[in-house]
Amino acid sequence: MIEIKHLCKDFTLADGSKFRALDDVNLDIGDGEIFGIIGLSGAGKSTLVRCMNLLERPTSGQVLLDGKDLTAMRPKELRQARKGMSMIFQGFNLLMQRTALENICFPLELGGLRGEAAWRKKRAKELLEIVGLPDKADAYPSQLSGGQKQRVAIARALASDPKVLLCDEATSALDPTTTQSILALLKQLNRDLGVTVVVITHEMRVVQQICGRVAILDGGVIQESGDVADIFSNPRTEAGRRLVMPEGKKIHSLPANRQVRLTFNGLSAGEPVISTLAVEQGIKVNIITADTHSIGDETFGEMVLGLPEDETDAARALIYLRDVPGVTVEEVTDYVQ
Amino acid sequence: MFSEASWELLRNIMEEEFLTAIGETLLMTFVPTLLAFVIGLPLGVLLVTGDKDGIHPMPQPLMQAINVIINLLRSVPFLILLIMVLPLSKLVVGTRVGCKAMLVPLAVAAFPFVARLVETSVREVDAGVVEAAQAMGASTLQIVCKVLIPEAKPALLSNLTVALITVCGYGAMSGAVGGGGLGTIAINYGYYRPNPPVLYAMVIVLILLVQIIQSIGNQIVKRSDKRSR
Ligand SMILES: Nc1ncnc2c1ncn2[C@@H]1O[C@H](COP(=O)(O)OP(=O)(O)O)[C@@H](O)[C@H]1O
Ligand SMILES: [Mg+2]
Repeated sequence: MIEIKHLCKDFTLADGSKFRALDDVNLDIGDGEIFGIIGLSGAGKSTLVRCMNLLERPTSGQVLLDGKDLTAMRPKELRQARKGMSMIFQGFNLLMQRTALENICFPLELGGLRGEAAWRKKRAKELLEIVGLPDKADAYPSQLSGGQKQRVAIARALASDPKVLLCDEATSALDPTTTQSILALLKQLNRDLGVTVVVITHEMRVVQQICGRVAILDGGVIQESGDVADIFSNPRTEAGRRLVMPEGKKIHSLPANRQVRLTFNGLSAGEPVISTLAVEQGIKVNIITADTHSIGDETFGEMVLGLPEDETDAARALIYLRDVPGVTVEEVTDYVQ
Repeated sequence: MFSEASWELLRNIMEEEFLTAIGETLLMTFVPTLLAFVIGLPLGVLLVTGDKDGIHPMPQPLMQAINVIINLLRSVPFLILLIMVLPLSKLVVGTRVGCKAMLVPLAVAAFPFVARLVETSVREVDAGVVEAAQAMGASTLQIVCKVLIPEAKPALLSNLTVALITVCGYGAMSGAVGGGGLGTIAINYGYYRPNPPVLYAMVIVLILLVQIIQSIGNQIVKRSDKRSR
C-alpha cells in the first residue's frame, strides 16, 4: 500500500547548516494493516508522516502509494493522490468557522469528487453516524469536546473514501478514556472499511492496543520493525528498550559494570538503604529501575542497581546490601530480560 | 455663550446643508473603503500566500516590491497623498473638487492600510488547518477561498470596521481641500469664519458616526465568530 524507499529529509536551519531529520527510512506498509510508528518526541515521526503525503518534500528517496511514486508527480496529480490518503492530527485542525457537518463536507467540495450540495450533506450525515456523533451536525468545533472533535476529524478524513488514514499523535491530546474510544473507532474503521491505518505515536500503549506491526524511530532512523508482540517482548535495540521499558530509564548515567537486582520482601519501610550506602560507606550506586511499593510498614518490589566501576567499591556495596534484612541480592547480566 | 448670529448660522446649516453633507460623508466613508478592500483583500492574502514559506511562494523580488510600495504609500501623510492623487481623480471622475473627487484618493490612501490589516488577520489563521486542507488535496485557490478567508472572517470584519473609521476620518480631513461632507462644513464655517458652534456640532456628529460604526461593527464581528460559544 505505502512503500517508502531510502527516504531522507534534511532541514536547512536558520544558520544555513543542514539537519538530517530522517535518514534512509525504508518501510513497507501493507494493504489493510494497522501500522504503528513509535518514537520519542523529536524522533522525526511527524516529519516522516508528512513526507508520506508530501506535505514535506523528501530530500531524497521515494514514497509509493499503490505502486505510484508520489515524489515524481506533478502538483495536480499529487493533489488527486492525496485524496486517497487522509490525515488526522493531534490538534484536530477543524475549520473553526464551520459546523461539524460543514467540516465533513469540506473535502467533498474540493472537486474530483462527484456530488451536489444535497448529496454532500447526506454523505456527511452518514459519516457522522459512523463516528457516533449523529446529533452534533450543527455544532461548531468550539462546542465539542476533544474526543468529539477528533471524531469529526475522522469523519472528515473518511469523506474522500481514502485507502489510507495517517494519524499523527491522534490521541495524544485526549484523556485515557477518550483515547480508548478513539482507538476502538480506528480499529473498527480498519475492520469495516478496510482502510489502512498508520498510527504515529510516542505512547506504547496505543501501539500495543491496535497495531499489528510497528517500526521504532529514533534520531530519524528506523531502529527496528516487525510484529508488535515480537518487538515489545524482545526489543533488540537500545531505542527499542527505552520505549518499551520506560521505567528502565537511567536516572543517573554513571558507568555501571556490574548490575544487581534487589528484591524487597519485607524491608522496614523508611530504611534508607541506598542513601545509607552512599553516606556511611561513601559508595554511589546507579538506580537503573525501581518498582517498589509499601504494604503496611514494609516495602516490597524490586530495584536494579548499577554497581560502581571500582572493583573494591562494588564488592563492599554487595557485602553491605546482602546484610540488609528483608532484601535479597542477585547479580544480573542484563536487566532487560 | 456664543452670539445669536452663530446659532442662527448653525440652524441654517442644519436645515439646508446637513443632510447632504452627512450623505456625502457616508459616501466618502463606504465607497473608498469598499474599493480599498477590492484591492487590499487580495493583496493582503497574496502577502501571506506568496511568502517564501507560504502555501504558494511567489518570486521574492515581486513580494519585496509589493511590500515597498505599500510602505511608501502608507508613509505619505494623507493630505499630501490626497493632493498628489487629485490629478488621477480628474482622469477617473472628471473633477478635482467635491466629494466624488475624493473617492479615488481616499481609496488609494486606504488600500495599503487595508492590505496590511488583511495580511495580519490571514496570518493568524491556524497553520494546522491549512495543512489539513493541503493534506486533503486542496489547491491554493481553494485554500484561500475556503480556508483562509472564511477562517479569518471575524478578524476581516473587524478590519473592515477599523478601515471604515479611518476612512471616515480621512474624509473629514479632505474638507480642507474642498472635499465635501461634514468636514467641509466644519472647516468652511467652523474654522475659517470662525464659528465654534458649527465646528463643535460637526465634530459631535462625526464622533457619533464613528461610535455607531464601531458598535455595529463589534456586533457583527461577535455574531460572525463561531469560536467562542
Ligand atoms: N521545519 C523544520 N525545520 C527544522 N527542523 C525541523 C523542522 N521540522 C522538524 N524539525 C526537526 O526535526 C526533528 C524531528 O521533528 P518531528 O518530526 O516533529 O519529531 P516528532 O514528531 O517525532 O516529535 C526535530 O529535531 C525537529 O526539531
Ligand atoms: Mg510530532
